[in-house]
Amino acid sequence: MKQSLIISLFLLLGYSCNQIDDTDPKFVIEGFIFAGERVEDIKVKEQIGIDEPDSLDRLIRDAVVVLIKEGQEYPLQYDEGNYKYFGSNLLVESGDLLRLEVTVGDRIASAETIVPAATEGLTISGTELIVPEIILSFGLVNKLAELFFTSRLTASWDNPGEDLHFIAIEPVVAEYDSLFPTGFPQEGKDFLSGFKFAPQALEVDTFSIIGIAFETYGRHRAKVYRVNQEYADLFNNPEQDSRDLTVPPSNVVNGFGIFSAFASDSVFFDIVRE
Amino acid sequence: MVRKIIIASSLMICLASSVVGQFAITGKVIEKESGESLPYATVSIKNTTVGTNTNLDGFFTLYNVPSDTTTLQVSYVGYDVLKIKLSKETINSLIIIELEPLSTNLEEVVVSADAYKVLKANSGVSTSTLSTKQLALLPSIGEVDIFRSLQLLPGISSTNQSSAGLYVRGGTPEQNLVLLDGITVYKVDHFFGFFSAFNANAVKDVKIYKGAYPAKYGGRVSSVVDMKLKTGSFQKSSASAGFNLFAFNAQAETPIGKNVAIMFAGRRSFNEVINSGLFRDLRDNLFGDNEFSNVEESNNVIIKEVNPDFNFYDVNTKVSYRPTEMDLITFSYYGGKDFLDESRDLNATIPVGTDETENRLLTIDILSSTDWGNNGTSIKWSRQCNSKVYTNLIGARSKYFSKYNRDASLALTIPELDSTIVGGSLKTLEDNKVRDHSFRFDLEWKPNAKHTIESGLVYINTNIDYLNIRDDSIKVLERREEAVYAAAYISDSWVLSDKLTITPGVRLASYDFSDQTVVSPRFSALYQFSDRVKLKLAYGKFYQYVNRIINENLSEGSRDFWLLADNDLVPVSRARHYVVGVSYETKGWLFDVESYYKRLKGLSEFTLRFRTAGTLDPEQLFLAGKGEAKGLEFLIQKKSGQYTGWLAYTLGNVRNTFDGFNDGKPFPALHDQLHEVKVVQSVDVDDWTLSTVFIYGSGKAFSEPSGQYSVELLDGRTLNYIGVGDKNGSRLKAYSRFDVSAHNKFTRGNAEYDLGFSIFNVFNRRNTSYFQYDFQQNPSVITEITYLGITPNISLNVKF
Repeated sequence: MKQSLIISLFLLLGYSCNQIDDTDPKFVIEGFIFAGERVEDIKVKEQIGIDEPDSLDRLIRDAVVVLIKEGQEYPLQYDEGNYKYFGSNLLVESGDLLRLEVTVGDRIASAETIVPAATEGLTISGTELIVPEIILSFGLVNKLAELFFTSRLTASWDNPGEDLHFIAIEPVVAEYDSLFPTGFPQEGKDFLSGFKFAPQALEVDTFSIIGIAFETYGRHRAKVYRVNQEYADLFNNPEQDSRDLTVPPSNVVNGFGIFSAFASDSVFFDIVRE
Repeated sequence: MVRKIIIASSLMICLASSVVGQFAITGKVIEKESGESLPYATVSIKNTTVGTNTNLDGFFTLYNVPSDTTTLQVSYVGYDVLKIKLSKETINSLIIIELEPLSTNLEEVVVSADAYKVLKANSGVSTSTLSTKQLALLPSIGEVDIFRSLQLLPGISSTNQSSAGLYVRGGTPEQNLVLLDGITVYKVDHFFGFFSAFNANAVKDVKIYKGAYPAKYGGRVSSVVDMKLKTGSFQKSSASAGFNLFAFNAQAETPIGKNVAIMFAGRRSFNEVINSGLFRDLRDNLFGDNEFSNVEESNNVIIKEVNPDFNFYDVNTKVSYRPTEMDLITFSYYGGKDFLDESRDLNATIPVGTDETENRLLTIDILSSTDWGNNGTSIKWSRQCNSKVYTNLIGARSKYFSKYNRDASLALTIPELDSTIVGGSLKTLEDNKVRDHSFRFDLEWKPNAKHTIESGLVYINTNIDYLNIRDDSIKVLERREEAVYAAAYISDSWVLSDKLTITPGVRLASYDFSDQTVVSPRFSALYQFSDRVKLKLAYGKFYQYVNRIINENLSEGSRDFWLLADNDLVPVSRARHYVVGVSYETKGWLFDVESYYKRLKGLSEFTLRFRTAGTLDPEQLFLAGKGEAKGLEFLIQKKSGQYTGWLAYTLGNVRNTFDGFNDGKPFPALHDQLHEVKVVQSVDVDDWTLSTVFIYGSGKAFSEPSGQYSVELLDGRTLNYIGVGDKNGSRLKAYSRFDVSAHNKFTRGNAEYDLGFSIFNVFNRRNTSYFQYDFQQNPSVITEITYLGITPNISLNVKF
C-alpha cells in the first residue's frame, strides 16, 4: 500500500507539470497598399463578440506597426483610424515585396504581399451614360428594365495573363443630383445599386457599367485594380456551420484579415440626363 | 458440486507431465444452472500464488499442484467463489467445476469476500472483466448497457452521453477493436449513441484491454473489447422477456438432444406503438422540441411534417454443437440496425389573381431517411486437444452499413390546368459500406507450468465503399477500396519465478493496400511484490488500417464513415503504449493505480474547416497529424459483500498536432479531459439492490468562434467574417451526473422477476453537449445544447 501511494504521488507530481494552453484571441489586420501612393490605409482592430452587432469596430490605437521593404523598416503611426507612414522616403512600386509586422501587447501577427503591376490598356466605350429623369409612374418598371439594357458603357483592359482584377466605381465629387426622385423605394435603389459592384475579383478583361446602378448624375471614376490572390480569397468565404467552423480566408499569420497590395488605372465617365 | 468425468485418453497426457511430488490437473469451469462454460475464470491453489485462467471455452490446466488433497479456489466475476478440496479420485479426472451466480438474497448464500460482484479490474495489465449477470443492477438511461458500464471504469470516458463508444485512455471509439464471437463490430451503438448495440442478455463475457494489449489482437491503436455470446444451456430450456420504457427484449435457450444448444436474444424499440415519455425526452434532446408539430397551417401554407419514424433492433443467435466433451462448434449471428425517417411535405397555395383557378400550388416533398447498422456471422471450432493444447478456428463475416438519403423535390403547378410550371429535385446521398471476411487460427500450448504459448494466423479481406453526393451533382467524395490484412503472432506467458511472470510477444502483419509489412512487439510483466502488492508493466506497438472518419452531425443520424488507410488521403495509424502500475489487493478490497503514455502517429481528421466556397477538393478535407495521450488512473474497489462499488479517478491529457491546425502547435483533442471521477455504489437490502452512480468530469475541449470582424472592400462594401478560435481552444463547463436505481428480485411460481426503477440524472443537471451558433442573425444567436436531463425509467424482466 505504501509503495503504491509513493508511486502514485511521484507520478502525480510529474504530471502536474503539464500546462493547459491558453492563448489570447487573434486581432485583425485590414491593410491595403497602393502602388505609387502613400501608405495610409492600415487598420488594426480587435474582433468583436459573436453576440454583438456587426456594425461595431474596435480599433487598436496602440499597436506597433512596421512595414518592411527590402530589409528597411518603416514604422507607421496611428492617425484617425489608420496607421500611416509620414516619412517621404518610402516609394511603393510594382514588384516590391512588402512585409507588415504588427505587435499588440504580447501578440504578434505578420503578413506579406507583392505589389502587382498596374492594369494596362484600360479604355471605356464612351464618356457619357445617358439616363433620362426617372419619374414615379405606372410604366416605371418597364422603363427601368429598358434602361438597364440600353444605358451602358463597357470598360475593358488588357489581360493576356488572366490576372485577377477588381473594379470600383465612385463619384468624383461627392454631391450630385440624385437619379431617383423623392419617394422612390429604397429597396429598389438597393437592388439596382448591386449592379455597380464587381461580384468578386476575377480573371476578366471587361466590365459593364450600367447607368441606373448609380444614385447620382455627374462625373464618376472607374478604377480597375490588378489584385493579388489574397484579395480574391476574401470572397471565398463559405457560409459558417456551427458544427464545423470554417477558418476565414486570410494571409495574416497569427491573426485575421488581409494585407494586400494593388496597382490600378482609372477611366472617367459622366452620367447625364437625356 | 464437483462432477467427475473420466476421460482417460486426455488424462494420460495430463498426468505424464506431472513432476515428482506435484500434480497437474485439468478441468473445466461452467455455470451450474446452464452448463455454460466460463472463460477467463481464475483457478488457483488456496493461499498460494499458483494459479491459472480458463481459456475461451472454460478449460484449464493447473501445474504444480502440491498434493492430491490441495484446496482449489475458483472465481469468476459475478459468481461466488468456490473452494474445492481435491482427492485422489478427482485428480485423475477432468474436473468439472460448477459456479453459481452471486445472489442478492443474503439468506441463501454467504458471499465470499474473494468474489467479484460486477467488475474484476485486475485481470492483467490494463485488463478488466465485467459480469453481464450483474449489469442490470447499475443505473442506466433505458437499456442495460455493456458499453455504458465499461465507461464507469477508470481511463474510459463516461461524460459523452451521445456516444456509447469508448474513449479509452485518450483514444477514440474507432480506435477500439470490438469483437463479438470473432465478428468485428464497426457500429457499437443505437439511437445516436444513447445505447450500445450489445444485448447484455446474450453476452456471456466482456473483457476489455485498455492498452498494451496482447499479440493475439491487432488492427487497432487504442483498445480491445472481446465479447463472447452465451452458448445456451445444454441442460435445460429457459426463456426470459422484459421491457422498459423504450424497448422490449426476449431471450430463449434450449438444448436439442445432448450435444446441441440454441440461444436467441433480441431487442427492439417500440416507440411507433407506444410513444413513451422516455422516447420523447430522448428525441427532443436530439432534435429539439420544435420540429415535431404534425401539421402546421397558416394562411395558405400547409406543412405536413411526419413525426420521425425511428426504430432500432438487434438480434443475437448462437447454435452450439458439442460433438465431444473437448470440442465445441458454434455458429453465431449478430444483426443490429437503426432506422430514421424524417420525411416531410410542404404545400402552399399561391394566389395570382382574384380568380382561384389561376392559383399556383407550390409542393415540396422531402424524402429523408437514414439507416445504419452492422451484421455478421461467425463459425468457430474450438478444441481442447489435450491438457496442453487448445485450438480455435474461426471464420467470420461482418458488414457495416450507413446510408443517408435525402431527396428534395419541388414543383410549381397550376392545379386547374394540371400543368407544371417548374419542377426539379435535389438529391443528397451518403452511402458507406464495410464488408470484411476473416479467418483466424489460434493455438494455445501449455507445455509446462512455466510457459503458456499462444500463437496464431489471421487473414482479413476488407472492402469499403463510400459515396457522398451533394445537391444532385457535386460528388464530394467517392471511394471504392479493398485490402488484405494478414498477420501471424506468437506470445509466451513465462513464469520466471514465483513472483515474476513476463509475456513477450510479437505480431507480424502485412497490409497490401499500402504495401506494408510491420512487426509489432508486445510485452507485459507482472511482479508479485508481496501477497497483496503486484507491480505491472506493459509495452506495445500497434497499427490500424481501417479508420472511421468523424463527420459530426448529431441530428441527422450516423454520418461518420469508414475508409481504408492508403497512406495518401488517409494514413496508416500507429501507436506505442507504455503502461506501469501497481495494485494492492485484500480479500474485500482492491486499490489499483496505472499510468499510461501513448504516442500516436498517422491520425487523420476530416474537416470542412479549410474549404473555400465552390470547391471540394478531397485533399482539402483530410488532415494528417500525430498525438500524445498520458494519464493516471486510480481505482478503489469494494469487490464483494452486501455493499460493493468503486471509486475511479482519471487524470488525463490528450494533445494532437496537425500541420493545418493552430499553426502546427499542439492542441487538446476534442475528448481531452483533465479530471474524471466516478463513484459506483451498490447495496443489497433483503430482496432489493440499490445502486448509485456519480460522475464528474472537467470541461472538454471545443472549437469556439473567437469573434467576428469585417473588411472594407475597395469599392466601399464590407464583408463580414467569423473568426475561429484555436482548434479546441475553449472548454465546456464541467460535467456531472448522479443516477440511482433500485431492483427487486422475487419469485412467483416458477418465474423469477426483476423489477427495476431508475432515475438518470437525478439532479437534472443540464450538461453542455455543444454550442450552436446562428450566424444568419445579427447579432448572432448562441444556443447551448444540453444533454438529457432527469429521466426516470421502469423495467420488468421475467425469467422462466
